Amino acid sequence: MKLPAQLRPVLRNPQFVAGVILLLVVLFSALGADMIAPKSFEEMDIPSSLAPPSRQYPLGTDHYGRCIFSRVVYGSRIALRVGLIVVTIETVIGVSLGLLAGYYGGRVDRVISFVTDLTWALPPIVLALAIVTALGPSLNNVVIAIALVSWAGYSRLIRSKAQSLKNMPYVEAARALGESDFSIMFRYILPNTYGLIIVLATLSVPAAILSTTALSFLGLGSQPPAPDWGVILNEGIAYMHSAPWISIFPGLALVCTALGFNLLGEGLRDLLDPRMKV
Amino acid sequence: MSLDPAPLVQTAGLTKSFGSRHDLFGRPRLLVRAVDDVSLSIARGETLGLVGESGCGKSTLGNLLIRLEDADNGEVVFDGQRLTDLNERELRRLRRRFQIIFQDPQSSLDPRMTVRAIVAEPLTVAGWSDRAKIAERVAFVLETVGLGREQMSRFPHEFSGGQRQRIAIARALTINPDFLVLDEPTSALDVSVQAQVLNLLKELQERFSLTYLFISHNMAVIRYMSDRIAVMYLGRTLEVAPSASLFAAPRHPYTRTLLQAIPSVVRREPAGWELPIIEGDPPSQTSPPPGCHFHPRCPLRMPECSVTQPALAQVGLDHSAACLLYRVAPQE
Repeated sequence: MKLPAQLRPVLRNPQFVAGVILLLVVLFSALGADMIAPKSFEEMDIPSSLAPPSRQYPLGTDHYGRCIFSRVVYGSRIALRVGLIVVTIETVIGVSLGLLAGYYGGRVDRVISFVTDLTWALPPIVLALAIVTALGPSLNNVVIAIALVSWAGYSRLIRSKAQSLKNMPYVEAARALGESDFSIMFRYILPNTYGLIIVLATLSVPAAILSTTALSFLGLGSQPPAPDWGVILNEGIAYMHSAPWISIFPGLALVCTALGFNLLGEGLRDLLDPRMKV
Repeated sequence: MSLDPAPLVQTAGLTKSFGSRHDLFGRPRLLVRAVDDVSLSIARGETLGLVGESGCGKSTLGNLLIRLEDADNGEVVFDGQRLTDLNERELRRLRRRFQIIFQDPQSSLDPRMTVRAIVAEPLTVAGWSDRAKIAERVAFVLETVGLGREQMSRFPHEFSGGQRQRIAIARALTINPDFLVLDEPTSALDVSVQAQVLNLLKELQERFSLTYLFISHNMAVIRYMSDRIAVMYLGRTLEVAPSASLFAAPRHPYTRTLLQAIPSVVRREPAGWELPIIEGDPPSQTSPPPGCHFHPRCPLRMPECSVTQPALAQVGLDHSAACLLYRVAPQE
């Protein structure tokens, strides 16, 4: 009953609408990959290898004659799954640590903030490279590595929000009622940070996808013949001049996905908290 | 002080400072003594009014009484138990016996909880689990403060300021406390609504035999609500007296000037205690003047006032003031 009124500013925000459309396309291809893709992502057709886009192969073929369109479509599954898992892990770590640091302050805060700053200071890709080198190349290791190095932003944001929320009279009132610290953190402070978390999570999906794709591109993540966009890009480098479509289309897919999440995230930020708008 | 043999709340030498002891470079930093050696007692069923300018430590004193903040020194005794000695768990169990109502009902209610959830919260904390009993209690308490059942599933922002304050009062009452700290409960409300909320508080006090600490900077409101009044200035209590006696014959020069500063449409007959209205702001709290804190602004200051800090001394029946004027002649 109240929804239409709340949705009106959403529809008036063209960036947000564009983001939603882009992501719907990606989501649709990930869910319906089996129906959309004309071929399997690993079906080889050596005679028509390196073929340019045609009616049979809409986006051309690679050096094994695999359908690039099918591979890109299946790749969206990997990209979305990776993005969601990484963001979930980093949200859980970052939000819990941020809550603890912001609510307790003092020594707890100093220790957590030190670790956060330490993680923040290291370039994520380099740290992830080190972790993957230690654990061995695989997509799962890359996901863990990226998640372990990119929670610092959440921790900082939630810490400062918790610091301001813990002095709100309604939190004081909760303390006066005899609520436990745990209950105050998770039932009073956390729900009032949901807006922030949703925005930050949406905005960090593209970073997560780009980082894992980069590591896959370097050969540390998904291994061939997986249709990971990073893997396809890597295979395409050798044929950059003779068959540019191999690299162009997974690259485009990556850009569209990242753009979609960024537009969505910024739209959400404007909607959930107009004051954050610059 | 009160002659009641067993006051509900009693403090002795309560002191609280703010600010860290050292700055970034290890130099000693100036502390703000928000509450400085305050000893008070509140009898069962009475309302003690706490009045003073903003920043004089009224709210801090209220927070200390129910241990929302920990005192640096001194003790608080609640119904025979030393609150200042209790550990977290014991304190949490005792918390249902005293509650606080804040000035701004907008920020004292969680914007994401419905009225039902807000008012039921104290029961959940107290370990109630029977949903029907909780619902019954919530409905009863809301009705007590003048809100209807049908408003239970709304959110705080859907209510007016006065109604929100009623919700906050309902939340405090759910678990049947004995003692309420009312921290400027009507200062954020429209004048017309103020009176309604004040009357509600009076009714509730009678009905549930509550004891109040009523904090305000508004002399008229304090007078209307309080049985006894304590006047605070820069963290210290300067005068404690029954309401009638304070307004009829204020002793401390600060109280006298404070009462005189109340605007009035009716020309008042001189009552014999008028002093020139004081000007200027209270002195810095980080470096309060030595001796009596009030002496730089006091129209009756004596040379000694800048040296000696006066203690509360009996100046009448149940009436005490901290002023050197009364040290020499304590009787009328």
